[in-house]
Amino acid sequence: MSLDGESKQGPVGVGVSGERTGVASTGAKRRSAAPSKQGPERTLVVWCPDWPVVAAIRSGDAPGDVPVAVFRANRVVAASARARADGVRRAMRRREAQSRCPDIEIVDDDPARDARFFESVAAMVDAFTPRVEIVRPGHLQFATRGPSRYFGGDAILAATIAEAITALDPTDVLDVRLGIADGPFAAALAARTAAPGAARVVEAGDTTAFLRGYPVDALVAVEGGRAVTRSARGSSGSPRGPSGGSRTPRSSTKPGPAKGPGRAGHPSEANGLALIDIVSLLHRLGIHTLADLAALPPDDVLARFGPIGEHAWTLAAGFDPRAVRPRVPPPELTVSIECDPPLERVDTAAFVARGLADDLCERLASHGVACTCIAIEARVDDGSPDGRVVTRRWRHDRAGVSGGLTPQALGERVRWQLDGWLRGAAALGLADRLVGGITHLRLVPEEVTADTGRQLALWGGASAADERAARAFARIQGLLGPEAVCAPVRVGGRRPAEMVVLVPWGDARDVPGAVHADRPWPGSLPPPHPTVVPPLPVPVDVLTAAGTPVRVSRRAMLDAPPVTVRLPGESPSLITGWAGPWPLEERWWDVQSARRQARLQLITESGRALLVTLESSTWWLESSWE
Amino acid sequence: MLEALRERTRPVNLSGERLLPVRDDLASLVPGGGLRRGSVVEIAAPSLLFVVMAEALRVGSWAALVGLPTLGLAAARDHGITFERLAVVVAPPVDLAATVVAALVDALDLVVLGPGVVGRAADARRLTARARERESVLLVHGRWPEAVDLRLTVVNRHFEGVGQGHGHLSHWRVEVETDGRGAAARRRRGLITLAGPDLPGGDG
Repeated sequence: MSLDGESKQGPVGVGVSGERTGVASTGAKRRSAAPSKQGPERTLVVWCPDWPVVAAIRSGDAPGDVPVAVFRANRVVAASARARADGVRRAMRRREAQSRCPDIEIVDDDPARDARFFESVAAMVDAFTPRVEIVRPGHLQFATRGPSRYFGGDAILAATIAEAITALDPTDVLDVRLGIADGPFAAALAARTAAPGAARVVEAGDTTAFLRGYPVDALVAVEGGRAVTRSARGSSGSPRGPSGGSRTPRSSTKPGPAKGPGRAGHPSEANGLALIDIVSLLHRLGIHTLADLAALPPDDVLARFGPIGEHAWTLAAGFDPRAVRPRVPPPELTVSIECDPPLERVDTAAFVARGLADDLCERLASHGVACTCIAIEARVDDGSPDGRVVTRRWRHDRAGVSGGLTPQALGERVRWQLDGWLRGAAALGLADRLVGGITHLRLVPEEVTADTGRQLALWGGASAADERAARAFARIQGLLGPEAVCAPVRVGGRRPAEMVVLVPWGDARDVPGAVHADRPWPGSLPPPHPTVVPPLPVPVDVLTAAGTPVRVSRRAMLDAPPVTVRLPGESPSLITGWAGPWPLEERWWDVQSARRQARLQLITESGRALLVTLESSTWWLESSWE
Repeated sequence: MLEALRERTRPVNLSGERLLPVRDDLASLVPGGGLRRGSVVEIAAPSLLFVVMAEALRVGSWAALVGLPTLGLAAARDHGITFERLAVVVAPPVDLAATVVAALVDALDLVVLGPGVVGRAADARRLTARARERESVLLVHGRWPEAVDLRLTVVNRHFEGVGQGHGHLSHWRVEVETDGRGAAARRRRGLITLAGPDLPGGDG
């Protein structure tokens, strides 16, 4: 992506009208077509190591003075430098991390938080040059051709930006590294080998030589991003990039994935290989460095490892394909929406974002293309008649590996960005925070590639019925608000009302606690579960033969058997059978939320089964079987 | 073995997709052995909602629960219901109720309405027609202002496992009576076991 002279003048280079943008970017593309034949675009990468940790500290979710690790699904996603010094590694289990570093502070992973706080860094870089592309929170890139000429060279540009970003963070938790090289991959690798707060510039033309010495694991470290960590299957240490840890081949120690080398040789299976599997396989084949990989004939690499292997080869050989392959999309692919009333709250913005992202994906699909770089443009009501237009670009970080952005990924990025604009800047007290709400929102697919398509599953997967249902739910959410349609998700709990939570339809269903659903919950009653659970317990009278309320002693014994039960507004009914009492003591270590209860199952003469609970000397109807 | 395979590979609905499947013990109670698409079914007991929905959800139908905040969703699992194709919708305001339910009827096979979600007879008539046209089934918990095709009522419940101060509820049975219009006009009675250890899917 090249910069033309005009757009360099201000941070907001993109016009408001769709036609102008389309024409301008088409022009830029034509001009950049000639240099792209010679080699990849010179790129600057800003990389903030352990960004999830930095975001957690800045948001106040974690203290800054102890080792911190961010976890998702019980695995380390990122760890602070101090935690790493104690031996905490990515993909490590929580228990193992705690045993290596007992005073570690554990924070839940929250991509939205990462994106929200990264917005300040993106805004700062955006002040130097337009066309900044966020690859993921903690990693952004832009083409340096225009800005370096303006500032007087790559090194000066990098130093200026590094200084500006470092100045953003007075508390010194932010570690930023810059790399400049030919192509985003080499630049990202350069950034990973730079000193904290500094830049590493690989001179033009030296990129191939620069890449030679690095082990093939660099492919996973740079290209894989977080996704690799999530799919890491039981391997205790995922590579941290060339700067971290020993670089000995770990092929022999890694527990072999299901696809062994023998079976993976079949072309159709090679297509399904992930980058991490390919790298592991390369080690076993004796190909340890990027130079070894680049020396192989590309046709053979494609035949043996499939398209992802071919992509890895092009990166290793220094031909970064990303600046070459994408096409400029036709302007009619742009989608926009007027927001009346202006979007000011994050949840409404998130809902609008999802609808718009779905709309865009539908249009892209009808053109047979997939989006690899999306510009999110918002007009903000700042008091002036036309408002102010802010733009941010997000690039798909795994475009070479998995095609374009999926509707979910696209919606997620739009939501993160709106969240960053609406909350992140304000939280940091930046001068250019948004004053009013967002009045107009536009999504411009800046680069598209041919959509290789996905095969619908024969069993399972999306079917026409699934899509119809999704549309109906989206429509009702549009009428009644995002909370109106929910998906039930099983979580762990002891009371019937606690066992299922509702999450708004379309949101991720991996709520905290979902992993505990199948664990044993001592004190919970065995199935069958009650079919009626009032939202709030109803007070009832459970009486002995003498007509006094049944009491439960400290040792969980009844003073007399229950004989009648009276529900509010009903006449007393005789009890024909009862079981219990089962004591339930929860969170006794916490004064605030401690609860102490005793529960009884009652069968009444009128043919009902009730679960009643004694708490603070009152009996409550908790649920019933009807 | 072959029989079992044949059972699994046969088309789900032989009579032209006109029926949504139901559990075997319920199938013997309802005319045709399933829920006729396009019909309105009134169900008096919350537990029967799960019984009626379970089989259709399992074979790929979508369902929505509208305005049923007191339904114990934890019990869904006792009936082998997973939540992949189930949505929970809040009770819409009266003036939007018809629009919301119509949108669901258009898209889903099963729409479950809570008591009072659709109170106006005019709305009920339109939705009945809509369901017939779109071939989806409206399950109504509570009173439906219009005539219904099938009505399931619980006449008796038997709880087992609870003694006098010992045991715990292990399973329960309900005696169900059906009536309705057309083929359903003949009243039938039957016993249905709810979530016991002998039920397939009870622990799955």
